[in-house]
Formats: sequence, structure tokens, C-alpha cells
Amino acid sequence: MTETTTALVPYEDATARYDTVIGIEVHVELGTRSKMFCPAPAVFGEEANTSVSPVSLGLPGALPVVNEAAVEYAIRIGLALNCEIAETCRFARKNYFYPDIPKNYQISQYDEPIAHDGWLDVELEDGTVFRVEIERAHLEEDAGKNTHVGGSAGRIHGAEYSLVDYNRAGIPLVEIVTRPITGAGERAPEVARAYVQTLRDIFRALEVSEARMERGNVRADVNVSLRPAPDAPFGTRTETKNVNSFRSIERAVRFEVSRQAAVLDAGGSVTQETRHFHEDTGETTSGRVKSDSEDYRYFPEPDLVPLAPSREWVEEIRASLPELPAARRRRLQSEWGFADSQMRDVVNAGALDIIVETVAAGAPPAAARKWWMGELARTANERGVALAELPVTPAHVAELQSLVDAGRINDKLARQALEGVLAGEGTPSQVVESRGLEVVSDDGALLAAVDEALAAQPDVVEKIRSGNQGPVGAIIGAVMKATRGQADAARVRELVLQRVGEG
Amino acid sequence: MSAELTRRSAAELAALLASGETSSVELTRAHLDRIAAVDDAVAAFLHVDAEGALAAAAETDRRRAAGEELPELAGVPIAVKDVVVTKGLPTTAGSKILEGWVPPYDATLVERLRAAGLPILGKTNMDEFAMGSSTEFSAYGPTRNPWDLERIPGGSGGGSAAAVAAFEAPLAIGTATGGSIRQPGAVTGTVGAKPTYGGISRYGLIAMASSLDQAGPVTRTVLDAALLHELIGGHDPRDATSLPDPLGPLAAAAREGATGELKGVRVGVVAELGGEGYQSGVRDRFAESIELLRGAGAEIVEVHCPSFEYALAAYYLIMPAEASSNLAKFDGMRFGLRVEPSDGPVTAERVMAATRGAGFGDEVKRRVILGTYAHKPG
Amino acid sequence: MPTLDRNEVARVAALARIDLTDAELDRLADELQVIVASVEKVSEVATPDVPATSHPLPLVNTMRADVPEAPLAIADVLAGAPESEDGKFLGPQILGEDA
Repeated sequence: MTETTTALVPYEDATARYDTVIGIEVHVELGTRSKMFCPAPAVFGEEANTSVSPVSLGLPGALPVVNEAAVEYAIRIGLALNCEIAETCRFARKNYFYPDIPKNYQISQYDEPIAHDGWLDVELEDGTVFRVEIERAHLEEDAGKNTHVGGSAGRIHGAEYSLVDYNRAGIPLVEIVTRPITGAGERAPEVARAYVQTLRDIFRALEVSEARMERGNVRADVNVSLRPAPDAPFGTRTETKNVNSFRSIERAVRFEVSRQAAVLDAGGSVTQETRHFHEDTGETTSGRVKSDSEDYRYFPEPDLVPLAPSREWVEEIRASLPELPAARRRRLQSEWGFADSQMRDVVNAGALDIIVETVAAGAPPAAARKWWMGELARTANERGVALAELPVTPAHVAELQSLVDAGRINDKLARQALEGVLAGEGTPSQVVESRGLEVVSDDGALLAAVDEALAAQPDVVEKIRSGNQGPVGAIIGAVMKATRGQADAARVRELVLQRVGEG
Repeated sequence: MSAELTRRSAAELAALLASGETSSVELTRAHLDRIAAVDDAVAAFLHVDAEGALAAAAETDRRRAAGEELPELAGVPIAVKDVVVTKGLPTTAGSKILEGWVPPYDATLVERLRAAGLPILGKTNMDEFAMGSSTEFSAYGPTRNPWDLERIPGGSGGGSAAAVAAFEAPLAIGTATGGSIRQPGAVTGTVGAKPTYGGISRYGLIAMASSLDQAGPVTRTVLDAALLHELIGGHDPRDATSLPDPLGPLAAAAREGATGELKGVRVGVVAELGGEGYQSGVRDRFAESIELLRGAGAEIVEVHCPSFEYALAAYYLIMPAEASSNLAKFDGMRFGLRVEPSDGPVTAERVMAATRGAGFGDEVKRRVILGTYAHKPG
Repeated sequence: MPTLDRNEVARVAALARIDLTDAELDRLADELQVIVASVEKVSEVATPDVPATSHPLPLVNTMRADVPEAPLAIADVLAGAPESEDGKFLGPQILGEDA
């Protein structure tokens, strides 16, 4: 059923009169070598159906066996999200018919997830920290892939037939479900986005997944509902599925708030349903009606015995967890002595790792930040590329700064040298050499220039002698111009005063 | 000699093979001849693989001649219930929905049989998806009781029991969820044992009720059953529910028991199995067998299982509930029968329903519906 | 005890994806009583305070190492397929459901 024009209330208006409650379900594909319940390879190429076993193909007689690494990864995730790790938990069958799940049931976990009752502090762009409560994280297997052939533009409705590839069937997934997220108000879209981004960073830091949304190994479903006031009961929620990028998450929430507000304003009620987000229009449209008669008939998986991760194993895993992104950021900020706003800018610009590398290459942190967030950020912007794509490396920047610190070049010359590096002329040292950018530190040459400048402005000498320091700047300026900016301005000042004083 | 050979027990045949008095090829041929002679009447087999069996027999003979150390039952032919997946041999589970399906893999127990050099004569008939107790629910026609062709051989594994009772095979594999190995054994005068759940791998058994199903030996003597049980049983890493510990010394126990000296053996008799409802004579025969055991020196101990009162009701819930889920995979999408609806749009949903409506027999439909209903909340 | 009506059975049959004739629906409506009766019987002892048993064995933690093995050959995968195209299983269109 297509909606031609959707009534919308402007976002600010909607959030002024309604309180937004959101909930987010994230599925992450684990980067194990074999599948969740069988040894078919989890890494596969383009050719369809070349990575299946009797188990992942759902052949009669095949039986699942749990992948130990997947369990460990799930525990890692649970611990990083401050969850309780279940002392004992079971798998369950979620029964439904669909061509992409070979057995017509999915092995998942129902009322006994491996991790539960956790939280995650999410930092928004302006530094506000929002705590998201995590209800549960559980293990399950992925489905295969349907392709629809024929009909209009590959959409499901009207397709002539479908083709199924089971390579992905059986890949391990962890599903993370939040509790209803309240109190975010008009910042709910930001919170949703930041939450998924933070999760993504954690997955990578834990090395449990490649975690690329655009590749589909992190998937988010967003639930949105409105209520007239923060203390009112929850409203009816919609679920927007498979939102494929961080930006889309934010846009989808915004759209749903505007849309639902319009429905409520008109005296109607929000339909509990699944919706699809459209990248091109930023809108959500109605999918299937989400009813309770989606009867999954969950029951404990009889082919698998319960999991009871020992407390020793859990502590071993906890001890082996890497530093998580938030903790790392706090540590680096402290080591570098950056202000909160400075650190935030660095993180938001995606410059954190590049600055880490630059500092590792020997640059002082403040200098690293100055170059990357200043000159280089400007250049990257102009060229429409990411910092890491510039032909300048952290080592280059460190080298550049060391030349400045040694007094061999000044800031202005350094910028010129940087231009040279960006133009592919070589390393900073090489560019300084080839372009002759070194600061003139030979007093003889400087004095000659000073004398020339003084000679050109004889009345200045008198003024300076009579105590007026102002004109000194003009002499310095003249000398700098004569030396093409390659004089050390402080030294020039000294020499000017010395010369004038000599009378 | 050929007719004689088919009357021997598996253990006797194993001895003849070991001594060189016969070959596996000769044995296999003798049984294939027997099948050809009587199976039109008995209908125990759904598929006979003469070529494959003879090739396997020849290979075992070659290994023996080369001096290789072989398991005791190597070279003794065997029949396998068609609910067990066999690579390269059609496997139907007695259902039309799997007509013509040839699996691309072997069940673990079949792998073990092949590795041990037992030629597989063929696949035996059964109630469709093991749902039944007479083999009358096979989609391919019933199997007859060799003792009286007008009678049933029991079920669901009537084919295996009949094959062994009719001397078409000295050994067979059966499976059970509620009694489908033992009941045909009782009804055909053969030995059927249901091993403790987890004792024999379920990998490759087309599942009915996953937490109840078990494969087991179908033979003419207890020793044969013990030998076969030992051969196919034991832990399987591909079956998460298989018991980790090795099986006990079953064949040794069978040999010891066969001496008739049962001093030191304690036999438990479940008190709750007394009571009404038995066919005339059954209780008497049972009591007689207790006396025979006692006479042989066994200590008879009464045990109580008070929850037996609820066992049948629990079974009526667990079995169809699990079966309905296990049979969901038969939908015409990846293997087996596919039926399109005769009118209306041809969608995945409708093809699944049409395929299952046409491909499942009445008893299967009944249990799937019951099981689906049993899952519903409240 | 009221027998379940045909509509209830039809709903269950739809859930189980099995086409049934009207006669079959009627017959099964009676059969479903056995489930109702079994639930009642078992409920005499399976009270809420009794922990649910899901397995007849005291096994836990059976797992396998994360070691990949050779997958099925594509020919074997597709061998039983009613229809296939480009290495994929070909099936009828899926209507009314979302991916």
C-alpha cells in the first residue's frame, strides 16, 4: 500500500508537543572463520551456494553444533556493554516459513539470552553523554539471501520469481536490543545515530566483526513512538527495518517523529507496523503489518544442549578485552592535555587515529592537532577527500614539526613546505631543501638586510632611538619581505634594536 | 550353502568370514538372492543396491586378504531403515515428499558401517516419517509380516524387522521415537533394542522428535544387537546431544548373559507397568520372563517411577511439537517434491502449502497440525 | 469441553503451511482435543514452580572449535533442487512478506 502524500508536522513543532521514545535493535555479523552451527566457511566469494554444508542448507538429518568462537565473541560484546553474562542459557527455535531460512526455523535465543541488563554511555557531538540501557544481547544464525527477479525494479511485490543463495545462511549474528530509550527528547535522532556508531566502534575494537554498515555486517532496526508527555504511557511504536547508514538512522527517526505527530494531531492512531526507510526521499513507508499473530512458537532447541559459560572463562575474556574506544579517548585526551572541545573536534573530524600516529612519529600532540585540524583539514575539505587520503603521512607532519621546533623553519615556511609535500614534491626536509625554505639564521646576512632596511627609512632610526617601538615592526616587515619571510622575526628584532642602539 | 548362510546369525557369519570359509561377496550375493526371492511378498525394501553392496563386499574381502585388521562384523551385509540418510542412495523416509531425493552426505552411523566394511543391501520400508506403529502409513505401500503375510510387521520400522525376520538380512538399522524398534521386534520375533538417548549419533537421522529419536540395532540374536550397537554407537562431535563417554562393553555383557548364569545381575521391574490394559497373555508371559531371570540367578528389584502416569500425555505433547518443527523444512523449495497450486497465484507460500498438502500422508498431517497447535500459547 | 472449530484448525494449518480439505479440517478439529487433554494432564505436575526440562541429558557446553571445513560441492547442493538458475535455488515469487 503506497502513501502518496504523507502528512508531516515540522520536527521542532512535533518534539515541542510530543515526547519521543525510541528503541534500537542492532544485528552484527561476527567475523568467525566458520558458521554459527556448522563448519562451512564463513568467508566466501561471489559464487552462490558455494559455502554451505548439510546443516546450513537445512538438509534432512543434519544437526547444529555451536561454534565456540562465536560464543566467546558474544561474551566479549556483552562485557563491553556492561551486561551480566548468563550462568546458563539455551538456544531456541523461532519457527516461521520463508525461503531464505532453510529449515523454516531460525535457531536463536528467546528468553535466555547469553548477555543481559547492561548499558552503554554514548557521546553526542557536542559532548553530551547519554546512557542507553541494554536489555539483552543474544546469539542467532543469519538467513540466506533472496533475489527477486522480474516485476517492477526488483521490488518484492509483483516479482515473477525468486532466486536464493544460502552462503549467508548460518553466519553467526549477535542481536543487541535496547530498553526503551526515554529522555532524549528532540535529540533522539542524534542519540540513535551515536548509539549505533559507538557500537560499531566497539565491535571493531573488540575485533569481533569488520562492522561495516554499508556491507551489511551491522544492521539496525529503529523503533519510534510518541507520547503526549514524558510521564504518559508509551504510545504505539513502529519499527523501521534495515536502515543502512548512520545518517539514515538519524533521518528515519526524524521522519517518523514528524509523521506520527501528524497522525496523532489529526486524531488518528499510529498503526503498529514494520516500515521501510528510503534513502532517496528520507521517508519511511508502510511494510507488513506487525501483528501478534506473527506466531513464532518458540521452544528450546532440542538439538543443542544448554550453554553454561564458566565464571573463569568469562573472567578470562574480560581480562583480555582491549581498551574500548571511549576509554581510549579519555586516556589520550589526558595524555595530550587537550580541552574537551578540542578532543571532540578531533573525534568528530575522524582525526583521532591519524593524530595518534603522528604523535607516535615524534610530534607534540598540540602540534599534531594544529596541523591536521588546521591546514590539512582545510585542504582535505577543498579536495573533497578524507584526511587519510591526503598525500601527507603522520610521519611527514612529525618531520615538519621537528623542523619548526629546531628553528630551521618558521610557521609560515612550514605551511609552504606542507604545500610542497601535498604537491608530491617529497618529504618536508626535501621540500625545504629544494625550495630553499630554510630560515635565514646567518647574522651576517640578516644584518645586511637590516642595514638596507634602515638605510631605506632613515627617519625610523630617530623615532626608535627616541623610544617609539612602533616603527620597529616596519623594519622587521621590510627585512622579512627582503628575505622572503625566511628570517627569524625575533632575531631580526634583536638585530634592529642592536643596530639602532649602536648609534 | 547359500540358503544356509542366510539363516545364520551375524556373529556366526563373522566367524565364517574370519576363518575364510566364506567371503563377503558370497554372503552378499546370498542375501541379494533371498531378497529377490521373497521381497515381492514381504515388501521390506524400498530400494535394493545390488551393485553398491557387491562392490563394498569385494572391497572388504580385499582388505581382509591384505591382512588388514577388521572389526568383527566387517563384511556382514546390513539393511538400513529409509529414515537414515545415505549418500548416493535414495532416501525417502517412507514419504512421497522425498521421492527421488538422493542425499549428498552419509549419516554418521552409515559412515561407521562403511568404514567397518559392511555392505549395505538397501533401504527398508517404514511408516511415513516414522509416524506409526504398523508400517501401513508408508506412502509406498505396506510391508508384510514374514510369519504371516496377512499381518503387520509393526512399525514404524517394519521394513527392517521384516527383512531380518525373513532372512533377507542378518542385520538392520532401525530408529525409534516411542517404540519403533522394539515393537516390530516383538511382532516379528526378532531382536530390537532402543539404546539410551545420546548413545548413538543422530547426525543423518531424518528427525521426528529430536529429544526422543534414537537409532538402534535390529537383529535375530541379542549378541548380534550388541555387536552392531557397539559398532555404530559412541560419541559423535557432529551431534551435540551424543553422550561423551564411550559405550560400555555391550558385546561382552551379551556373551556373559548368554551363559545363563546371571548371579550378581540386578534387574529392575517398574511397578507402574503392571495394571490393566494388556492383551490377554501378555502379563503372564512377562511374569514368566521375570521368573526365568530369577531362576538364572538374577536379583529382581521393584522400582518405582511415579511420573509414568504422565508419560503418555507428555509424549503426546513433545513428539508432535518437535516433529511439526522438524518437518517444516519439507516445503518444495530446495529438494524433494514441489507442487504448484492448481489455480490462483503461484507464490512461495502457496507452493509450500500445496506441496505439503500433496506430499504428506494423513498421519503426518495430523501430527504436524497437532504439534503446531501444541506450540501455541495458552 | 467445546471442540475446537474448523476456523481454529484452518489457522493452525495456515501456520503449518499445509493445504487441507474441508473434510480434513473437520476431522482434525476433533483430534486437537488430544492436545488439550494432554496439556491438562501434564499441568497436574508441571506447575510453574517446577523448572522446565528441555533435554533428557545432563549435558552442557557441547561446542566445536572455529575451524572451517570444505563445503558441499555446488553440484551436490543443487542436485535435489526442483529448479535452479545461475547456481541459485529458483522458487516462486514471495508475495505479501518483506525481506
